[in-house]
Formats: sequence, C-alpha cells, structure tokens
Amino acid sequence: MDAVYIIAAIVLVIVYGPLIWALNKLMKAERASS
Amino acid sequence: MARETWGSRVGFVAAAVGSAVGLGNIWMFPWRAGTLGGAAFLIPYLILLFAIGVIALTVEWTLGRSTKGGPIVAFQKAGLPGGKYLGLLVNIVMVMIFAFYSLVLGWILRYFIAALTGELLKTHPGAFFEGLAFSKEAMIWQFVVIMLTVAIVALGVQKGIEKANKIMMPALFALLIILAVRSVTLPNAYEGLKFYLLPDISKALAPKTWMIALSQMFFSLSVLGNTMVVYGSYLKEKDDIPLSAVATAFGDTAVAVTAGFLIFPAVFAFGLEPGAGPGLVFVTLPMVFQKMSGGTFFATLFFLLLLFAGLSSTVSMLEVYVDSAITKLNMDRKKAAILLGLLTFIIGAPSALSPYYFESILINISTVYIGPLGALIAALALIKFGIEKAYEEVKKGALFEVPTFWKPWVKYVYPAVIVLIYLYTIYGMLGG
Repeated sequence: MDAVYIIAAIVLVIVYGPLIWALNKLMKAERASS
Repeated sequence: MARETWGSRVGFVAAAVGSAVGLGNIWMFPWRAGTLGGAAFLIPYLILLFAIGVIALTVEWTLGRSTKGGPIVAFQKAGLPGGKYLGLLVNIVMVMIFAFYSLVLGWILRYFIAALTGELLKTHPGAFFEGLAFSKEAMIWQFVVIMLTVAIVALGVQKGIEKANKIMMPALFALLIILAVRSVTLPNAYEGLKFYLLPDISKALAPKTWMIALSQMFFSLSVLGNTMVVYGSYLKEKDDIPLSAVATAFGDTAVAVTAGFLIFPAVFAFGLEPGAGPGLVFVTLPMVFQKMSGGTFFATLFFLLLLFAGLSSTVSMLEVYVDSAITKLNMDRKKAAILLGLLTFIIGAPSALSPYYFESILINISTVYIGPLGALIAALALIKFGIEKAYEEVKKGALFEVPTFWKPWVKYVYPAVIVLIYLYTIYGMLGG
C-alpha cells in the first residue's frame, strides 16, 4: 500500500482516537450519574 | 435568579467544540499543514495542543466555574485590579469580533442559498464574490445571521446553545466526512493527498513552524478570556474540566485535519491552485464544485458545513455580552439578546461597505492588538484568585488525576507563552 495512504490512516487515528476516547469516558460518567 | 447550567457533560463539550471550531479550521489549518511539513506539522501542533491548548481551556473554565460569572464578574471576584474594566474590555472585543464575523458568515449564508438553488454553479465564482463581499446585499445577509444567532441565544443555555450545538456538531462531523470521502475518491485526488500529507520533518521542526503552530492552535481554541470563561461559568461542580478540555482540543483539531482531506484532493483533482483564506472558500472551491459531478449537492453540503461551523461560534460570541447584560444590568435574556444583536449589527453594518473598516478597524484591533490580551488577563485573574484554590477547583468532578505540575505551568509557563504569541503576532503585523 502506498505510504501516503498509510500516513493518512495514522493521522486520522491520532486525532480521532483521543476525541473518541474522551467522549466515551464523558458519556459513561453521564450515564453513571443519571 | 439562579445561574443557568449545562444539561450534560457531552452537551457542554459539543458547545465548547462549536465555539472553537470556526472558519479558521477549514480555510487556514490545512494550508498551514500542507506548506509546513505535511503530516509532520502535527508533531509540533499536537505537542503544543497538550502543553498549551488543553491547559488554556482548563484555565478559562476553572476561572468561570469558580467565580460563577463571565469576564466582568470573574475578573472582579478573582480580585484582579481594575477587573471590572478589563472585563468590559474583553466584552467590547467580543462585540467587535462578532461584528466582522457576522459579515463573513452572511457571505456563507448567501453562498449556501446560491448552492441550494443551483445559481452558484452557473456563475463565475470570482465575479459572484466581488459583487457580494462589500455590498448592501451583504449587509442584509449579515443581519439575517445576527438574528439567527439572537434566536438561539435568546432560548437560553440548555434550550438554545446546548441544544443547537448538539444538533450542529454531529451534523458538522457527518458533513465533513461525507465531503472528505467524496473528495478523496475523485480521480487524481492522490496529488492533493501528497501535497497535504507527505511529511517533511525538517520543515516541521523549524522554530518558525512551532511559532505558527502555536499561534494557529491558540486562536483556533477561542481562548481570549471571554467565550470560554462564560462557558466555564455554566459548569456544575460535578462536571469534569480536564477531560472536556482534551475532548474539545481534539474535536477542534479533528475538524481542521479532516478539512484538509476535503480541500486538497478536490482542488488538485481539477488542476486548481491551492491556497488559504476567503479566496479558497468563496472562489476556488466553488470552481471545484462546478466541475464535479453532483456539484450542486456537494456545494450545498459544504456551505451548510461552514454555516454550522460559523453559527456555533457566533452563538458563543453573543452569549458573552448577553450574559454580562443579564448579570450586571439585570436584563431579561430575550431582551438582552435582541438589543445586543441590534447593537452588533449597528457596529458591524459599516463593514459591509468598507473593506478598510472591516479589516483595519474591526479585525485587526479585536483579534491582533487586543484579543490575545484577554487570554493573558484571564490567566492573571486565575493566578490572583490563588493557584492552590484554582487547583482544587480544576480537580472537582475531574475524570482523571490532574498532575500537580498544572500549578507552576499555569502560573509561569502559560502567561509567558501568551506574551510570546502576542509579540509574534504584532511582529507579523508590522511586516517582520
């Protein structure tokens, strides 16, 4: 596979990973407190 | 009257991301990444996002929550000398920012309607933009945008701002992903991806790139001592600050990074020149849509995306001084929103006829010369409030341990960085 596509995939994981992780944790806390 | 609060943690993050995500994410970040090291630009950007961006959000939200007030109340309660007047100053900055931003968002609303009706695909985008940008017609669209913002703010924190963002933010991400997928599947999209992502470590690690990344990140997160202080003041004690800061910082970055996947493959696929700023959005991309199959549909989605990005920001801008009017002048929310919306229009309307007033007065004074000082004032207010007390506050409701180095970092490093950004911005303005 071409390097540019691999870089694209890495970039997306780097920025969306922490966002999804944090949102998931916040949603769990929300459910636990309601 | 009891102060309004956010309805949920996720609703707060949606509103905070909405405030941070603006037109700069779409028309500035991808260009900077593409020309300053490609994917490697993310190395300085993400390091600074953690070291400064996340910290900046925690500072302003902690100040807002601990004082239960917008800038005027927060700076006063923190014991900052002249706090009332400094609070007033950052409110005035916000009026000025909304005044020029509403003109740009008015252009976007006009483009959205032109895309929807198919008109945009039949015109010459350059001529269309020139005819619209500084005209009486633009003033009408500016008024409509201000009134849309007034309508959301008038409904209140939970029923207006939070609800609108809970619809606009997921929709924004969905639109962004649909458009990015369309763009990267165009023939010859590969050249655009290469331009955007091919890493150049030497460029990315150059001191100048770090400075540009810092300034881009700082302005992108809307930390100017006003919107984020007000949004923080609606937080409850059980609400988390540090994790919400991480989510907001990455949400803002995710939009900016994805925008690059939308723009460059499409621009390169049709052999056009990439660039940044209004020219990209109002001239180059409409040309792309004209050449693309299904152009009307995708142009409509694109301008809807920009409309959501802009409206979620203008709502946070107006909220700053509507909140001040409610708390300091005991005004009713609806009345305050309408009156201050009209005031913003009176101040902003001349910008629709005068590029000089638009750029040299409204933009430069509010975002370059005075704006960044708001972040410094908020940081100094929190230091005056007491760094130990602030640390106890930031830990309340936190879903992960806040390290103790947060204290010296906020007290020494963060204010020094703001001064650095300020001097760099002024230096840039002076042609350095």
